[in-house]
Parts: sequence; C-alpha cells; structure tokens
Amino acid sequence: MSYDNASQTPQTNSVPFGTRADILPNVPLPDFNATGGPTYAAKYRGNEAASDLMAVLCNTGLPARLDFIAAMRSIDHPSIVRFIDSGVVQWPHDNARYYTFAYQRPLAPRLKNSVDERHQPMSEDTINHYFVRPLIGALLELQRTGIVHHAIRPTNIFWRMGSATPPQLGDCMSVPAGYGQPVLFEPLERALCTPIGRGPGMHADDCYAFGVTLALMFLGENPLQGLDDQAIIQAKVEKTSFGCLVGTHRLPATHIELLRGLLMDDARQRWSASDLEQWLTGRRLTPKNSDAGRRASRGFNFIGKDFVHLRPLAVGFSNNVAEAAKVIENGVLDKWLRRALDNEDTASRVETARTSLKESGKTANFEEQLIARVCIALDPPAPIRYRGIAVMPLGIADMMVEAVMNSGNTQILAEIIGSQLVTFWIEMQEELKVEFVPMGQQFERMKGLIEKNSFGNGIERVMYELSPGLPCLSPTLRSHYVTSPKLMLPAFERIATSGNRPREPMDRHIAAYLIVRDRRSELLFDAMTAPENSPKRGLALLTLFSEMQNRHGPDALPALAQWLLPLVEPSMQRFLSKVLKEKLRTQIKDVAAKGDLGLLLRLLDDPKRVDFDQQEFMAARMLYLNILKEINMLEANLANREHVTRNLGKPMAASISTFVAILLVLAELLRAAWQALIAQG
Amino acid sequence: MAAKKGNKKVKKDTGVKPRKGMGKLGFYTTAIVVIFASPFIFPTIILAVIGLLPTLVALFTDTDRDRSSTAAVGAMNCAGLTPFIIDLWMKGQTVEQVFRIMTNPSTWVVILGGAAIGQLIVFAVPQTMALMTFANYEKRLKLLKKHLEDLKSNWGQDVGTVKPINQIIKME
Repeated sequence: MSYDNASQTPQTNSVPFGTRADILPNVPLPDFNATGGPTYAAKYRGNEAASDLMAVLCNTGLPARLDFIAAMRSIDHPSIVRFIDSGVVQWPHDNARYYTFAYQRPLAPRLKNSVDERHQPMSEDTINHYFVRPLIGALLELQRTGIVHHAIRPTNIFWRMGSATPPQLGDCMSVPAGYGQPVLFEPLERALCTPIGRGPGMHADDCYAFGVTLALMFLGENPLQGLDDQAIIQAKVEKTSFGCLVGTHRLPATHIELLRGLLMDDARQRWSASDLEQWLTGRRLTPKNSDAGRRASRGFNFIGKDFVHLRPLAVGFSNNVAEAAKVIENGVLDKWLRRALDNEDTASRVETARTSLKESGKTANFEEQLIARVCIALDPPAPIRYRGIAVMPLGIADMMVEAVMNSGNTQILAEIIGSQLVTFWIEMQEELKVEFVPMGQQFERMKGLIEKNSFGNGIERVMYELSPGLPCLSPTLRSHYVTSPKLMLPAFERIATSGNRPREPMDRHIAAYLIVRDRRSELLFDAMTAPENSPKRGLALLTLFSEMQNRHGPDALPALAQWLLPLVEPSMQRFLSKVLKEKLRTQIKDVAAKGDLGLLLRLLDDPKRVDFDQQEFMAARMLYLNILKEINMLEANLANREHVTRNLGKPMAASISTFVAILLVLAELLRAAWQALIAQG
Repeated sequence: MAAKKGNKKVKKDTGVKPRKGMGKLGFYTTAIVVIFASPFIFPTIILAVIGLLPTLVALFTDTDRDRSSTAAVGAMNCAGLTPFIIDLWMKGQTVEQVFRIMTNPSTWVVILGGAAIGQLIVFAVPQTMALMTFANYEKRLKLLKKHLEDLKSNWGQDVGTVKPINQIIKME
C-alpha cells in the first residue's frame, strides 16, 4: 500500500489510490454502497478498458479497520469479495482526502436490500449446496486469517437467489467492527451495546450473524420483522435467540440442528467454523438447548416488574439507576440473589462490586458507578453500562473516536477508564481469556495517561494508543487522512501552500499522534504548554519537524518553513545583539525558501552562537560601564570650571611666565655682555 | 590610650599638599646669603626690594595654595628689574645710582610693565587653557555618548543594567 501517489491526480477522470487501483469519481455504484460510504467504479491502474473493480469511499469519518488490511489481502476465496488495494484518495468533489478500499466487483446483486424483504424459501438441498456450503468455506477462511467480519447479513451478501455462483460476503473494513450490523445479527452481549462501542469481537460473533442470516434464508422472512432494537433485545433475553428466531417454525432437522448450534446465546457453546465444517461432512453434533440462564424461584420486584433472570434485571438496573441504587444499598438484591436465585457466586460478585467502589473512595457519580459495577457483576459478559452508554471494553476506542469526530462527550468514556471499570469487568468474567491480561494492563496504563493534562496526553493520547490504525484526527489534518507520521509533513506542506492554515501546525491531537505513532518523547511537547510567543514553543516545533524531515523526508518543505518562521521569531530573543539578529533573520529567510528545516534549526539553536553572543554582550556591558564612568568624570569637570582653571590654568600661567622671564633675563644678560665687549673693544 | 594611639595615626586630609622642605631651606639660605652679602650689595638690595614691590603685593593678595599668581608676576617682575640691576652693577653700586634709577619714570614703566605682563599672563592663560580643555572635554563627551547610544542600539537598554542574562532572555 502506498500513500504517496494519492496526491498525484492525473488529468483524466480516474483518481489513483493505493499502488494499483484508480477510482472513477464520475461512476457511482449505488447498488454496492457500503456502511462506510458510497461505492464507485474502479479499475486496475493502466487498464483503461475495463473497470471491473469497486471502491468504497470511507467518507463517514469513522475509523476504518486498517489493522485487518494485511490479513484481508491474503484472502482469496470465492465467497468473500476479493480485496485488491486500499489507500488515501484525493477526492475531486470536495478536495478532501478519504481512505478507500478497492474490491473486485461482485457479479451478483445484493441478496436483499432490506432484512425484512421476503423471498420464497428454497429447497434444503439447494440452499445447503449453493448458499450454506460456500459461506461455511468463507467462515473457515475468516477464522484461518483471524478476521472477524462483523458484517454478515443478507444485505451485505451478493448472490442471485438459487444461483450456482457462490454468494459473496461484502465489505467489512470501511467502518468499525459491528457498527453497521443490525441488532438482530449481533449476539445478545453485543446487541446491548451502543453500535459504535461493540469492539472487535470474536469469531463466534460471525457464526451468530451467519446463524441469523441462515434463519432468515431458511424461513424466507424475518420473524422479528417490525420490532425495534429494544424489542428484539427483549425478545432475545426472554426467549433466547434460537427461540425468538426459529420458535415454532417448521424446519428440516438438519437446519434446526445447525441453527441451534449457531444461535447459542452462550458464545462458549456456539458452533464455530470448524464445527460447521464437521457438520458439512455429516458428523452430527448435539447442541445443548439454549436457555436464558438460571431462573429464580421468586421474582425480583423492581420498577413494577418481576424479574426472574439476571440479564433482564441488569438491563432494568442500567435504565433506572436511582431506584436500582436503593435496592442494592438496602440489601434487598443480596437477599434475593442468595435466597430466590440461590446464586452465591453472583451475590458475592455484587458484594465485591459494592465494597470495591466504597474502598476506592470515589464519590463522584457514586450511584452510576455502583450500578455499572453491579450490572457487570450480574451479567459479566454484557457490556459496561455507565451513564447511558453501553460499551464493550475494546469498543471504548471506537466510541471515543466517534465522540471526537462528532464533537460528542468523551467525559463518560474518560470516567470509565479512570474509574477502572474495565479492570473490574475483566475480574468479573467467568471465562478468563488470554487476551484479557494485556487488555487489563493496557487500560491500567490508559488510566495513568488520561489523568495527565499535559500536551500530548489525556483523551487524545488514549485514543491513539487504543486504535492502532486511527489516522490523526487533528482538525487541521482531518481532511488529509494522515495515517502515518511519514505523511504528516507533506500534509502540512499542502495546508501551508493552500493558505488556509491555523496559527501553528500543532495541537493536542498532533502531539498525541506523534508520541504514540512516532515514539516521540513526551518532554518535547512540554514546551507546547508555554505561551504562544514563547521562544521554547517555536524551537520545540522546529526541532520536532526538522527531526521528522530528517527521518521521513521530503527534503524541501518551503511552505511549512514559511509557516514556522513567525513561530520561531520569539526564539530570536535568545540573541542579544541586534546586528546578529538582523543577520540571522536574513539567513533564515533564505534557508526557509529552500525548505530545509534542519538548517533552520541549526541557525536558530546553535549553542556556540548563543554563548558567543552572550560573551560579547558581557564585554559590551563592561565597555558601557567604563564609558559611563568617564562621562561622569568629564561632566563633573565641566561643572567645576574654577577647579580646572585653578588646577591647570594657574600653574600653566606660572610656567609660561617663568619661561618668558628666563628668556628676557638671558636676553638682557647677553645684551649687557655684548655692550661690555663693544665698550672694551 | 588606644584611642589616642589611633588618633595619632590618623592624618587629617585637608586637601593641602605639604610644603616641600626644600622651599623653606631655600628661603632661609637666601635670607642668610642676603644678610651676609648686604654690606657688599646694599644698593642692589635696595633696588630689588623697591623693584619687587609688585611681587610683594601679589604675594599678599594671592590666595592660591601654590602661589601660582605670585610666581607668574614675580618672574616677569624680576625680568623687568634685571636690566636696571645690570645697569647698577655696570655703573657701580651706589645709593646715588639707585636713586638715579628709581627717579627715572621709564624704570617704573619697565618694572611695573613686566609685573603687569605677568599679571596679564595670570589672567589670560588659565582662561585660554580652560576654554581649550573644556572644548576637548565636550568633544570627548560627545564621542562617548555616541558610543553609549551605539551600544544601546546594538544590545538594547539592558546593556546599561546589571540584570542577569537569564532575566533578560525570557525563554518562557
């Protein structure tokens, strides 16, 4: 994958992206639109004749699943749309840059345009042979590559009903995992989540979605048609997924067995792709009857309803925090758990939830914190439910991104991390998975980071730490889709050239992004908290960008250098000589025109030059002092004219007078001597 | 006792230079020579005493510590007296000769003229010297002030202060 050529837009109708694909912006393919954005025709680069590709333009602003690109590239299966390439495209319609995925265009149309669309049920053999078997192959391929598709549903499968051509699973990369998946196709725990907070999930989730898809295909209709999301969840909670989808419908025994295995609400007992492969080969597995969990001998009366199962009670608690807090605090819940439900484990978990919160000493949002913990204790696999949102631990990252993109409230998510609800969620899980250990450690680290207010930390830092494929979400860079530090300076250069630029190329997002992605020291960004006209701030920016230019290129960034010039101007205060300052100003203008940030830095931040300047200043100061002394002396003399006259003038007068007198006396003596000689002679 | 010892060591700085020992010695030597020689050069002494009256007047009116005015007037007074002393010696040292010289008005013109020239030098030279010196001072002052302005324009107002450099260069 290459991003470099994304900026080179040829003078044709196609726009290049990635390394080998061109998108045709004037040829939309609405029939293939994905959750992540509209689809356009695309073609292999250099192949002017055919446009047999489709490109999904990710313009929703949600983070694409870039971390799965390598795995997706390795898939070559007839039942999964062939991934060709991806990259950033300079979209001509709005001149913004979007991430784009290119796929081989499916030959068949979308299986259904709506999940409620009815069709004539097919024969058992036909559907097994032409639909179930190829898609089991697709699931096996996904399992092999470690990809969780999260978009298996009839509206994302391309197949002509009854056709011998295998069905194809559509795009799954353009939005966060599970974002576009209807509640119907999500297992109960994930269905309870806010769609953006479902997290990456696991292979069993794909098997569940496959099971629901098969149920709809076998039945020829959606048995839960017309129900809203809450009603679907309620139905699944009360009747189990298999019960509410299949119910009393008459289906072949093999299909019943298959659906029972795939629609198990307990993910541990749900059939995987490997089990499906065994089913294909004729080995019959015996899935357990799915149930809604242990049933209480006496209902727990809460908000006027009697609850006999834990999961619905947890849902009820999360929706009625104040009332729930009362029944927890007055011990009614504990008694019911121990006596009516006879579930000591859950009772002790709830007790742990209460005591751990009280020991932590947290008083802010106490009731919400308590209910969140108790809900986790009652229904451990369910999402964390706190202050109106329901999120899986690994869905926090996507939810944060969505909140930032839509200027939403990140405070609740920060509170979830800060109050260690994720750690508590992990502690409460009955099935301890290997991935929980690093996840717990990671969120503990995030707690430390989110509590820091310094530049480059806080919610922004956590977001980039938790989402490895996330582009920089700085308002300055958002439309440039910077997915790597290498792309940042060229993006700044383009922004600087466009003229529509902010005061400085730095904000909390950029700092956090560089700390996480480019492994930059946090200390470098401490200077960014200084006032805007601080010399340190400008120099820190220049140091950072010059190092990035040295490491990633490009060699010349004249527009960015011009952008930085007013920002580094305060650093001139380090030099005391005005002559030197003027000389440097001339030099840096010349260097900025060349776009060499390293040279610019060396000019402005040369310790030898600074030392020399300071020594010169000290010498000038001594000279100033000496001159001042002399001036004072002269002015004192000028003010005391009599003193000068007496001390200098009178001695001089005496000397002159004496000298003249001596000359006159000598002259007189000579004259007398001469007269005497003449008189004798 | 200690206080007394301390007081002995302290010399009052009056600003007056101590007179040289040679001055007094010369005066007394001259006085002795004159006393011993007076029988032989009595007329000369009479002429000198009368001729040097302006110098005596200058001596008594001179308030200067170094007696510069007396020296200047005295020197020129002596120069004015010299031709008459030579004349006295050439024509024989007698009181009559002294009387003859002293009664000649031109003698007084020369003697007093010499003293007057001496006084003129005392008046004119210091004024001229002061004018020249002050002109020189003014020129130097102007040059130094220009140097100061140059330093300020190149290094800023802080060059004239004792403020530490780290306070002048604010990095925050």
